[in-house]
Amino acid sequence: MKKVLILFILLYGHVHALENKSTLKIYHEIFSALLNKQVVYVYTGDKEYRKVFETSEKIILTHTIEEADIILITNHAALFRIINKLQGAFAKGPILFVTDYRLLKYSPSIVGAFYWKKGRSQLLFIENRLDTFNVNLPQEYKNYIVETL
Amino acid sequence: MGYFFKKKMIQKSILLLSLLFATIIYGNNVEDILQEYNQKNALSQKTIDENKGHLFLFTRERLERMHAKTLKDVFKTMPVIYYHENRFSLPDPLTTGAFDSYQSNFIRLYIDGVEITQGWMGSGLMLYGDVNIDFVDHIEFYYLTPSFETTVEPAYLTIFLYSKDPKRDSGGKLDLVGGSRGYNSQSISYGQKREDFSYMINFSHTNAKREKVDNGTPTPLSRDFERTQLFSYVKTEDQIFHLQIMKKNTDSLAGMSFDASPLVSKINYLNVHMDYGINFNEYWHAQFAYDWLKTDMLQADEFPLLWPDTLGANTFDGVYRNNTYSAELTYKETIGNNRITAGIKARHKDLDSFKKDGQDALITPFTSEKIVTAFFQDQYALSDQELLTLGISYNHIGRNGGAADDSLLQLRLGYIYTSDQWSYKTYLYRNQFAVEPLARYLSLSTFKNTEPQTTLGLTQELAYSEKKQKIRLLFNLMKDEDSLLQDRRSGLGKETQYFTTILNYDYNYDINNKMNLQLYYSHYKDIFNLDKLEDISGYLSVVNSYENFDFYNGIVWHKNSLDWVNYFDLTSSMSWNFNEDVTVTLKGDNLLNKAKSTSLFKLDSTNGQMLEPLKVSPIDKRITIELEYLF
Repeated sequence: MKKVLILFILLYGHVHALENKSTLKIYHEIFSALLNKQVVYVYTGDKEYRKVFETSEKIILTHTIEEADIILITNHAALFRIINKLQGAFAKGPILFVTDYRLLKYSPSIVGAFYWKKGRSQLLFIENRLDTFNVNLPQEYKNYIVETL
Repeated sequence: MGYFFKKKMIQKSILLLSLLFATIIYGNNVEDILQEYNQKNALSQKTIDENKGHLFLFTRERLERMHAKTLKDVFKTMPVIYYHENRFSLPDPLTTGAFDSYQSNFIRLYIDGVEITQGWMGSGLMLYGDVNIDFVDHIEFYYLTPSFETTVEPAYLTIFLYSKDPKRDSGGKLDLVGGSRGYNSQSISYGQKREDFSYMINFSHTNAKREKVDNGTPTPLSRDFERTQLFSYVKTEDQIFHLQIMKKNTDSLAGMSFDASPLVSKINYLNVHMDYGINFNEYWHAQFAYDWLKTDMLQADEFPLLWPDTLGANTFDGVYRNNTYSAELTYKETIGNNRITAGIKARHKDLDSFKKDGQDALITPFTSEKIVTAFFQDQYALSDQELLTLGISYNHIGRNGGAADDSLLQLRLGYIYTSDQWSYKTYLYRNQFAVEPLARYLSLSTFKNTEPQTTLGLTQELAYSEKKQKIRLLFNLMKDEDSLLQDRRSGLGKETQYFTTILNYDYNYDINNKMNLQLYYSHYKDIFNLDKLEDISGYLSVVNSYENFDFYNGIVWHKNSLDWVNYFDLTSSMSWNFNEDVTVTLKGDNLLNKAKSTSLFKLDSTNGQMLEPLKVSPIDKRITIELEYLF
């Protein structure tokens, strides 16, 4: 029955906009590179991403932002809520990462973004912000780093 | 000393090479993961339904790379049924260039899954065939009989435009285009995702200064148009509401002039479309749509005009108003290995009014058509890789004014096999098509009791894909009985037979460089007053990116047995992504000025003799410069 459902999903496109396997793969790649560890604790309020991350053994979802290594933010409202909650304690707190390029300008604490532009996914890290958090990305990411926004 | 120096050099070199190799490997790794993510998470992956027919997909990435600004830019690259305009300069891919009314009602157009129809006047393609597509994320063309859950009326090409999603395209976009002969267009969009709902609005204006067509008189034929268009929606998780408005004032080429030398030829359209859809739960879905069209025609010639409503006069100043109401209720459920879809759909087309010279002139008794459709479809999974699909649809069309009703039966049987690399699809189908209301209205005596067209067909599609490439072969055998496109005086074209084969090959060199090739061959028997027609054509496109620059080059090639002349439509563009928010693009359409042209027939009004037809290409040679600003 499960296989049959998979066949129907293959034929009708994916039920959700985020495809599970490839989404987990890219986010695990990004998060583990940022933290330099294999198992990462992530907070996000976005239902769609939570649904995807729930199925991972390497991305552990947290219920509070304090427990998280990384916070994934997908919209303005969530960003402002989290900034208020962290009250400037960014350097010690979790790393902020967003899914919308426009959110980058709202806080210098956001180290990077993975977003869509013209039908192509874009990965971007900001060097001076990575330095603030003492993050050294592996060499393979050098093409995705810009000095400043 | 020298030995140690050499040894250290070798060690350093090995280390450097290892680092370089690791960089390449890792570099490819991130790039590969990104490419895989792109492919599997494109919005098209959410809407594609392989069982709708044989799919030709234009992803958002592809549309952006092509710098396609209108549906016409995309349609002109399609195989077999490619973009044409009729003697009124309306998008009409199946036009013969003769004096018939709108011919492309076999092609249906949908936006976000809801059909846009002009009701009494014909398929939505008539106005939306060259619609500005700045609001569109991706486009799906499904060839041949679609699954019955999508259509109220039968079709053999269905075009689905899907709008952008604010979750990926939040904020605004301003797009300004200026080009040859003073062509210009402006478009502004804004979309936002809120906690419980999202919305999008796109407003565009196009002032299309087009190439004139020499008709041998001092006043060449004009097809310039000015179009203002609004697209908007608001949606929640289970409801959606669309509002679309289009105003198009166009010079209508030859219009109603038999000899293609009108004194005046203008049509103004005003069109409104609204729809509302709701998912009650995972099984039940309901949808309502309303389409309204006002057609204001001003035509004048030295001789009597061809449109019957002119009553043989040399001038025509007529205004038509028509309404279309559509509603549907569908049920979907998976029971064991069966995916059941069933539903009922209804459509009511009204010709509300016809005024000539400001006076009520609607005298025909035939003014309304009611369509009721019931369908059932079962898709039975034979295994985790095989699917058997059976569809049946019954349409009853009721008409007033003494025009005969029609009962149409559509059947489709299919088999689909899919694995990681191979896929195979085959359909056997029977379709029936009735004469459209406009044709019937304009010639009620001819079409009062016309039999519907019956089409029988068999299609097969075989595809192989791997990481970087995909190859696909498609075959179609089809036969029309009592063809609606036949010449009813001579009886020619009553039974038309079609054979078509299409080859597609896509190769992705890497994430930035891609190639697409399409070749096809068609053979028609007894079509358009011809015993035999052969068509061999193709399309090759290459997209490349280098640093902040994107390049697109595409060539459409057409050749057919009418004259075996080679036609080439070369489109090239270069974009400079100045930063994340600003892009400047230089684009050339039909750069060789050799795009496919077709015959527009002329008749000598004084003696009824056929004159040498005009050759008209729907594709203008045009250079444009475009500025995009995201905010």
